[in-house]
Amino acid sequence: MSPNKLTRLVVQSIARNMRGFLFSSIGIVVGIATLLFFTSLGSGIKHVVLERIFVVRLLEVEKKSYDLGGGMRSGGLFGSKSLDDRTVEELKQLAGVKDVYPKMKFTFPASARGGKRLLGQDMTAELIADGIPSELVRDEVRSDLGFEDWGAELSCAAETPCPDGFSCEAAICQPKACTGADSTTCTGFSYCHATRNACALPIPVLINPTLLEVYNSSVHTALGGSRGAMSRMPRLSEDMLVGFEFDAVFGESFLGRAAQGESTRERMRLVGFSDKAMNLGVTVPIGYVKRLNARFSGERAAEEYHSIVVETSSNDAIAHVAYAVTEQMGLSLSERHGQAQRAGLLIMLITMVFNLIALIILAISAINIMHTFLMMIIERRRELGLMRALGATRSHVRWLVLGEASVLGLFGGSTGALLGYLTTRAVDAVFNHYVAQFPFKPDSLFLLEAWMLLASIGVALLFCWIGALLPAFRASRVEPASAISGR
Amino acid sequence: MRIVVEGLTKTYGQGEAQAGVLHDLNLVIEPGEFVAIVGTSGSGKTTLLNILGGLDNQYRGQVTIGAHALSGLGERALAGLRNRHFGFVFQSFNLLDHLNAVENVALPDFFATADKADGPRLAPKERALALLERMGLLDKQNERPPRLSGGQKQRLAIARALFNKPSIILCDEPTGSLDRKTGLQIMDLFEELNVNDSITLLVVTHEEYIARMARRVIRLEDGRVVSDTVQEPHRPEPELAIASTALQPATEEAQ
Repeated sequence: MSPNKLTRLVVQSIARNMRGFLFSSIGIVVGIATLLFFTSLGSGIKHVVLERIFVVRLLEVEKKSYDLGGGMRSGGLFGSKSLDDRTVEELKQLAGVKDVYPKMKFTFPASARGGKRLLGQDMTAELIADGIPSELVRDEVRSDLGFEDWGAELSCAAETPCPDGFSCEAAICQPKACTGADSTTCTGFSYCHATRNACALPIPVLINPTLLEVYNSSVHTALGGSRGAMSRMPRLSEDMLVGFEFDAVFGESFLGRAAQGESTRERMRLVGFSDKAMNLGVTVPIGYVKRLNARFSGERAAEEYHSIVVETSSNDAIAHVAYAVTEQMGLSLSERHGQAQRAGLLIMLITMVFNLIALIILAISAINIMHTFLMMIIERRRELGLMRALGATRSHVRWLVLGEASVLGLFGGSTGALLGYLTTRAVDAVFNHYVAQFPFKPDSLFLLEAWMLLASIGVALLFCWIGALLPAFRASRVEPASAISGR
Repeated sequence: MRIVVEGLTKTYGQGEAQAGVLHDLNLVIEPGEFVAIVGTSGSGKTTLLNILGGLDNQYRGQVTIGAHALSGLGERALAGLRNRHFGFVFQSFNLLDHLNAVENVALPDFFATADKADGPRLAPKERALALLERMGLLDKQNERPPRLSGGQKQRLAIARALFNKPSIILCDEPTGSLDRKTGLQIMDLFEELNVNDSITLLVVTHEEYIARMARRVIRLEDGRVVSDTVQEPHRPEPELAIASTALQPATEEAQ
């Protein structure tokens, strides 16, 4: 029988008993809606936790530490290998590694002052910062200043001119001389450095969006009840902050002065937000950190990284890369990796429990479908016998029953998917309306992907087929002679 | 298609409970014959018809339809034979109430396999409409069976039996649910099909006046052929038919 004929026959059969058909589909609709709801909820929560809170694909490699009588030691005789450029190259060679970027923190005191434009008055705070390579975050920079090391020696040529405030001399960009009152020499992003009397470009800064999230959801709320200007601090957005400038004092802060070198004041400019930036502090191009560490803490401080972030090509590669880093290279992973693994496992288990409930509903539906189809075969025994007399093979009868089950599956699956989708929208609307803002509060609790919708229909079909398989074989065994005569 | 039955034996049950229905039957039915199979209730008429039509393949002996020995045919081939060469007409019509007249007539098309030897054929719906017109039911093409009279239902069933241009039509008590006047009209229709279309007709009946319209009468008793006679067909007047003796009420027929 051609698919076209089978379809027409199935449609004729279903049209005859639409009420029974709709009744049979209720279980499938509810089961699929439940399955889709919990699968997308699990994915949504997993996405927030593992992509925003514990970014599981980013493994932060540290030197192995040993606990010696209550004191931690790392490196040297008791620790693992150094985190230097050679280690970075070794990590890049590992299978499953997409990118490697070293991180180096400030090893000297620093402070930041500014904020009048945003907050109404300047504020001073300790400045914690680290540095990462520019090429890793170029796509995330939202300012024309870019995330470049403008403090390094910049070469120039006719086709690669110097940035604003610099002039090309002997193929090297040199800062133009200026005075504090001279605002015309230093154009564009450049400004006149007060002590060097020369133009300079601000140090580009990236901030982790988590920091903004924590400020808006917790700090801003807490300060709302304080006295004075602090109570009037606004909620901040990324758009408001990009382009924000403040002054940094390197080598000196509330906590003390650097062991060596004269403190210096530089301007910083926020150029974007990135998950690769440090969680509490600011991130600048690593070249600045190396030079400042060498200046205030000595050359050795500029040669060793504090950690190296390894980005895996996929979640599947995490285990392999983690094993290679810890067992083969003798390094360790930060505690966040363990937290991410535990969080992921917990979410997976909870999702599995709920999906199991949905599958139980579907299994009950399949039993209901089996019962319905078996009853249908008893009712339609004479009709099936007639079909056999008119030339239907056993296979035709089987396909007729399975065809009806397929339509039931497609209808139940599609309706269930639609119901599941509408439920997620409704829950999201309630969640966004009634649940107060909290750190990492997502716009949606659900992550609904196209494959989930297709899989829902596939699962519905599967359970309908399972339910209809036995009835289909029973129907195909109906003997035409006895069925027609009613025996 | 020639029908040859050799040593046909059919039993129900097993062991001591085994009961014979047909005993060593031997028959030859030539193409184009109009045969009535008569007998009392339980004589094996319907069982014989089911076996000849390929609806029952649990028997001993040999049944050959044309060049095909039924016992040697696989399930698909047997279904194909039923679809292409046999038409069935039943006492209770066996129409599908959820389909209209055209859809009922065209039902065998769902199970038909294309055969190049048939040459170009009309589309299923056109074929069904042509048959409804021949049966005088064209104006009922969109009606469903519950809205038709008994005679109309049986003519609809005959139209369905003719859908694939069968060479043999097997009728099991085709007039059993009809009044005698309507029954005679149905028999006239069979006569016309037999004469004009050369279709072999096998009619199981318990009514003598129906049997007298056939050209050959095979009488069964306890699963055995007790007589096999060729006769001059005789069509009774409706009122005479009413007066004729029925062997058994149709509703008591059970094989």
